[in-house]
Amino acid sequence: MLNKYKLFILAGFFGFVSCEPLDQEPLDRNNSENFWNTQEETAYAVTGLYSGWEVGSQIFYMDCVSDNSNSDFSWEGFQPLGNGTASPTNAGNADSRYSYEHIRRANWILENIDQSPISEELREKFVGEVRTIRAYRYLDMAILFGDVPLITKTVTTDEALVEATPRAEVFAFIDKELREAADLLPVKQTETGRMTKGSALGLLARSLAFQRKHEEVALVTQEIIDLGVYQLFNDYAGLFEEANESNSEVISEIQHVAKVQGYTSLGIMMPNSMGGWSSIVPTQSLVDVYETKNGKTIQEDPAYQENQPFTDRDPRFEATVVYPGARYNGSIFDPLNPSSSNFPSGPDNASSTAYNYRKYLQNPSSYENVWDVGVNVIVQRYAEILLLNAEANIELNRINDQVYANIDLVRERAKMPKVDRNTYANQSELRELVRREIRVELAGEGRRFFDIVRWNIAKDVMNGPVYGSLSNGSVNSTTGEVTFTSLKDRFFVENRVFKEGKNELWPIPQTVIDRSKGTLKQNPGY
Amino acid sequence: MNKTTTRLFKRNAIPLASALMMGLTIPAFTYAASTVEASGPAFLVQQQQVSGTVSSTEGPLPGVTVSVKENPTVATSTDDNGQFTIQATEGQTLQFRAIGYASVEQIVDGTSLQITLQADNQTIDEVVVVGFGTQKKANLTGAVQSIDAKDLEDRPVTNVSSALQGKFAGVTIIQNSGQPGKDNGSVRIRGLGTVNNADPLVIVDGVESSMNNINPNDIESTTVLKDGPSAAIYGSKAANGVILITTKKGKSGAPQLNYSGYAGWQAPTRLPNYMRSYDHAVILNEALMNEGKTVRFSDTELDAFQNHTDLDTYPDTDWLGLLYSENGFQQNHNVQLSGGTDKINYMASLGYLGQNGVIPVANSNRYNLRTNIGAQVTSRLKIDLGVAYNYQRINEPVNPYTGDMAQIFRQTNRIPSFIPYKYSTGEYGYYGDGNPIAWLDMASTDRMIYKHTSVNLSGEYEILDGLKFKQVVGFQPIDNMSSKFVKAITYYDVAAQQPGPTQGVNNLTVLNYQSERLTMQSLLTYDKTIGNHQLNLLGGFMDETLRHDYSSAYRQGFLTQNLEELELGDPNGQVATGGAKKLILRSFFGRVNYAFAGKYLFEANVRHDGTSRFIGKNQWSTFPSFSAGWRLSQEDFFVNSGLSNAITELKIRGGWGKLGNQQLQAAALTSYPTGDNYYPGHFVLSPGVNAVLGNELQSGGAILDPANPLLIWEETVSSNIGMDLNFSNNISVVMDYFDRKTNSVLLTLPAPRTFGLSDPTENAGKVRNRGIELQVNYRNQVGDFNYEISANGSYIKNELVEWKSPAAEPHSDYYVYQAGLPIRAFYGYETLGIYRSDEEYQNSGVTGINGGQNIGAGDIIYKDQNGDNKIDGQDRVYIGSPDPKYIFGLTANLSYKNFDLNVFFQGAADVQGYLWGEALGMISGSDKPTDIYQDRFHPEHNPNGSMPRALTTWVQNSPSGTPSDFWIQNGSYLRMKNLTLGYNLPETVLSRIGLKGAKIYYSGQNLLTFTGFAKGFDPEAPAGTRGNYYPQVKTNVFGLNVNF
Repeated sequence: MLNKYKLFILAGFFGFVSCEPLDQEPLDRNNSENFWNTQEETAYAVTGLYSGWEVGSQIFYMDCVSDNSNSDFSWEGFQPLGNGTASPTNAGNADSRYSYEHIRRANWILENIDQSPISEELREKFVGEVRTIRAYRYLDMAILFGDVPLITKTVTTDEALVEATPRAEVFAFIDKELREAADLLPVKQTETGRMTKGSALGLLARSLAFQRKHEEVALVTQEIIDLGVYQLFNDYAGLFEEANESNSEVISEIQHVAKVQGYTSLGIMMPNSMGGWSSIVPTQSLVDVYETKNGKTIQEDPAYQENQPFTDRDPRFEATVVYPGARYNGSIFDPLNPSSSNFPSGPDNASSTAYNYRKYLQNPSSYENVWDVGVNVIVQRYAEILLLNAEANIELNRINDQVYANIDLVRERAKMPKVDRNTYANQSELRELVRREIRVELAGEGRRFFDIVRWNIAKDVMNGPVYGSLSNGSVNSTTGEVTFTSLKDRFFVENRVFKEGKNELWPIPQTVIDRSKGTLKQNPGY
Repeated sequence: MNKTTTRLFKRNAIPLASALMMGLTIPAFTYAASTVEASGPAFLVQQQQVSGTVSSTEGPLPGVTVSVKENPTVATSTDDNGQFTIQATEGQTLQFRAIGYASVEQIVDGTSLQITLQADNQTIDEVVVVGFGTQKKANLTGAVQSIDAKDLEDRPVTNVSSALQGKFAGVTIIQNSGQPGKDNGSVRIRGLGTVNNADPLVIVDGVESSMNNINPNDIESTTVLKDGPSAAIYGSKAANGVILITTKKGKSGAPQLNYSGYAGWQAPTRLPNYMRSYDHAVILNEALMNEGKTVRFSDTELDAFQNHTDLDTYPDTDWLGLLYSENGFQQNHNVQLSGGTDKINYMASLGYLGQNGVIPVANSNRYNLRTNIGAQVTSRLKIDLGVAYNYQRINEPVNPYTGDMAQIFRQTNRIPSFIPYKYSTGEYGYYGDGNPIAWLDMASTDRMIYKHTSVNLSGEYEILDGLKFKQVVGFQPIDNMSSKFVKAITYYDVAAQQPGPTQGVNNLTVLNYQSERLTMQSLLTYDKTIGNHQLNLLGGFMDETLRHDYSSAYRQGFLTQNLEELELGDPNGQVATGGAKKLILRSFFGRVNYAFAGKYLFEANVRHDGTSRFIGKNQWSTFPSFSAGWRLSQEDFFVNSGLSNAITELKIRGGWGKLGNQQLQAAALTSYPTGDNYYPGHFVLSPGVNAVLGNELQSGGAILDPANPLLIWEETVSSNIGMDLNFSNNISVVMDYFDRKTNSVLLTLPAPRTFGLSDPTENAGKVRNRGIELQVNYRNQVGDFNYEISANGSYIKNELVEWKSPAAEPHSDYYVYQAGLPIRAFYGYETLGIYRSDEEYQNSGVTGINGGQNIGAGDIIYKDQNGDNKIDGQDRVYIGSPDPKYIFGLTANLSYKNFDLNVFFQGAADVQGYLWGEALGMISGSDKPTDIYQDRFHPEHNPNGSMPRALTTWVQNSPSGTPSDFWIQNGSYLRMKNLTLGYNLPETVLSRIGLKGAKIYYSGQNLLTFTGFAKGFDPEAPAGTRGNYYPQVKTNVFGLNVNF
């Protein structure tokens, strides 16, 4: 029958229906339930942990929470933390630092790497790297937030609701982890940028220094020195340039390759006239701490002239700061002229202090695109180890030749005279010297907040007005000669407040508190 | 007499279209009689042209559907003179139907027919499209509302969602942007039921589709299924309601050719009013002084800003004027050809929409092609084929700084007037973030091409009397690509006489995206009427496969800015990405309709859905619904009581249904492949988590998003009680009360920070939407003056009733999830005015926000809710919601002789807007304030100012740093959405030029807006991004509509 025939056709139509199963797996993602099958997959996961383990701009910005630098833009997250207006609901950058993202990645790798078919040697190396990075994150949080929950395995959202672990326990964990990681890690990695024995020990030195465990700092820093693989790079300014990246002084770094995964935030430090944002600028306080080229402080050196503040200073000043009259990027930097695009009260992106940073930016026009550069950002370098070693020995009142030798190494590399052993003979004199040396040597590298808190001097240096350069004057546009007409008027930036017992720690962002459903408590004073 | 030319495409095609499409029997059209003359040459021989005139008591009636009862595919409609011609055989019965008139049947007897229709408010025979079929309006038991083509006609709308705005009770449509090609509104049916994708399901000619792909001109009817009972047949996709769109089909009769088109201009609706140079300079100095800093401008400079004598040094740039420099010319042309015989019908349409932006570069060109062919192959077999092709090119300007368009608007709204656009030397002015108009002059463009094809084939076979099988195959390939070339710009430092900074690098991103959706539906229907018992059964199976594929490529370092092809870029730094996703949905469904004596109505649906999105037993779920109706007006006691003299129809209906939602995120046209997570149950490694090691890029991956294998569907339980009431005095009322509860809402719960991944999706809450809808229509005629008014309004209460966490959970700077509050609830501080003196603050005994630093006269007073004498996060409370409680629409159609006037208002009330960002502006050297700051507090000049004191960076008063109700504004509005004035050419003219009908009209869209919302900002603007979007536009056009 015709009708039956037609029915048959329709039934055939019906049969077109796809019979694909409803169980579908992601097409363009690796399913974590079927992973760790090869060495490549394991390396893939470890690389995933390295991705963003630290961010260059975080390092540079950190000085704005100290007397070294100023960040003028509250929305960038550091101004409120620097001037004391930060609060749980206005926590600025505290929000991005209270992060367990990499800790979880690390925990996940550590829980699974044993099933990976890799050599024991490689496994140890990977585990060492992973534990070092995890310890780095905890160290950062313990310093900034005090007590934080210590999470050492991948957790569910319910398991994640835990109270903060006392800071001392967190430090104990960090120290143990770094010690053990150092034992797993090679002195040198085939690929630079990976964590090494020195990286783990260097971070351990930081942790111990923060805990004021001077004896142990001395030992660990000595261990690093004795590794024999590090030495100071011979050119202070060039140390940070792309041409010299991964040099012998570098212990830990964040690597970049231009255009591929470049560092895209160098421009935020440049002067407005060059299209920069002046987001991180040096303060007068920093400028004043540089010695004269004679190795004396500006207060002590009779050769220092108040109206010529920028001449004959420690060469590291020239290498670190762009100042009024400086020859920079092919012209004379002149922020004193009110019609200049760098005039502090002028455009928003002009530096509030009339200074900009030069470190990492000796020659910005050498970059094809300054917003995407290949320069590696140094997290820790050998000079810090030498100075921490000297500092620890000074604190232990072991004033020996090595103390002077360490400091001299750093100074001489910077083309500064050796330490005057007569002027700096006892513990307190040397303490003052080594602290100044640490500040000057590492200026702009994000270490200052850590130091002023552990030295307990934040209350002294972080209260009161922040100033920039003398403001009344002019710059000769050909010679760069600066003439100040007043030695009183300065560019005023802001008034800072630092409350002892409160501002040593950052506020725990309200959103973190809210999300903890009451398990986390706010830091005192906030 | 052309009062209803607009009805040309009115009701006539609905039964036909529905029958073609859905295969559900309409009792009036049963094929019972079709056995007779179904085939054989005799049928052809007997066929003849039947013509006649249909009129009402007032005169000839255009737009009346004329169809052959025995063969309903043969249908036509009367022309403007009420005349029709149809192919029929002697002895067949012709049906004449028009809305508002009682139907008439007439046996063909060979003579010219003179039919008179009697006005009748009982729109009994009106048929509406429902899920997988059609239903007589009188027999509806669910909350279903339908509009037809005339409601969309002669308006300069550019997309379907704008066309539907304000037409349906309980349906909120907000148009967020006026950007050419990207001006689709967001559609919410009966409130916001979920925090996830809340878009309704859109079905076009029986197959899931998108509203974006349709030319509004091709639409025959649109039905909204609002409640559970009516939508449950769409099961797991129907939780947010269903919109059914039916495209036009041909009618049998002579070919009909119609042209319609318009041309006109657009302009922004409302633009913010920013302070110009002088005012800005004054307030900036004041703010710097308030902060103890050196002032930026001297008195001489302030004078210079006022004088305008040296615009190079003291510019006063009108940035917004420079940005909105285009007239937004817009034109639309549509040609439609349709016709048919008793065996075959066809419709072909071609549409073109060209839009220029109100800013340079932005434009869109859209071409729509659609053909629908229907064939009655045998008396039992019917085949329909619909093919639609849409081609659209959208250009939008981008910038070298952020690479997108939004920054151009943002930057224009920020850059101060004291930055020059160009110096007199022709060099661009600039500041830190660049010069937005210089960017536009560069014409860096993102060129998007969207190609959407839709093929829809269906065959319906009548196996036995009343028993039909229908198979539908829908195939929709989408092929999109975009090519974004960003040009670097180097400024010139005029002061230093040397090249200034460069923004960006020349770079190109090419993106290719494809998706394919294959839908298979098999339907079996059975319709039977025995005496007073009327039974309709439906059973079906459906299978849908959706796959997305995309790839993108990026290169930078192009040698020139003129050649924009990938190969010309530097291979160094090139990036290639790509991916794919697949989703499978499988469903079984069924429906029973039973009506007794046309008085008692029952309906039950069930759908069993399986999805590949979930895991294991969570894949399958069942969605039942029940509803019933009682037509009191048909009861003897009602008729006998005499009430029927006043009330012609009274129906009470109610029902309950369960619906699902599986979609986590709305699938935006521009997100590739889609932001929606098709595999939420699997922990996967996100690729591209790379790192440089050994100074080389190494490939890495990491788990970034949490998976939840326990996820199940969002289930919505929806109840509805409604009443349809028609009075004999031409007033009809539809009222509905609904209660819609979404259980197990898929929410991204704010996870503890210690969790270490992004917020996981969980079935974590219950959302309830309750409300009332009212629709009133009134139609009357006084002499030559006809008017028709329809109004709709609804009240919706949105509430998060149950929440996994007992505490309030803020999940962004402004919003909170908390039981008892709406889903979108603003969260911040309650304010008590402004401190008028420093002492007032000091004496308050409350430590102000942020530890109380820098607080004093002129700062906002926040309320210490918990009485602990300090203002902190614990003091935040609910301060409003951006989702309106009341929405309403009002349409009036007036006609007098050859003129007709259509006015359409639409609005929302009890809605809050949050004023921040560029809506407010900031007082700094890089942001300009709006003139709302003119009334700022100043201890001497304005001690009673309504705004806080001027500050540049301190955040104690800032709406973004410290959200508070100080910045909450009433966002209610009433908008004249459309005004159309038309003139129909008189018969005398038409006959001389040989046209059947012609109309010229003026139409304006978004002409007037009444709102108390922030000056210069559109109340429909998205709540989160004030300032960074393409503004809404008003449109003035002149149009022509011709029937040949």
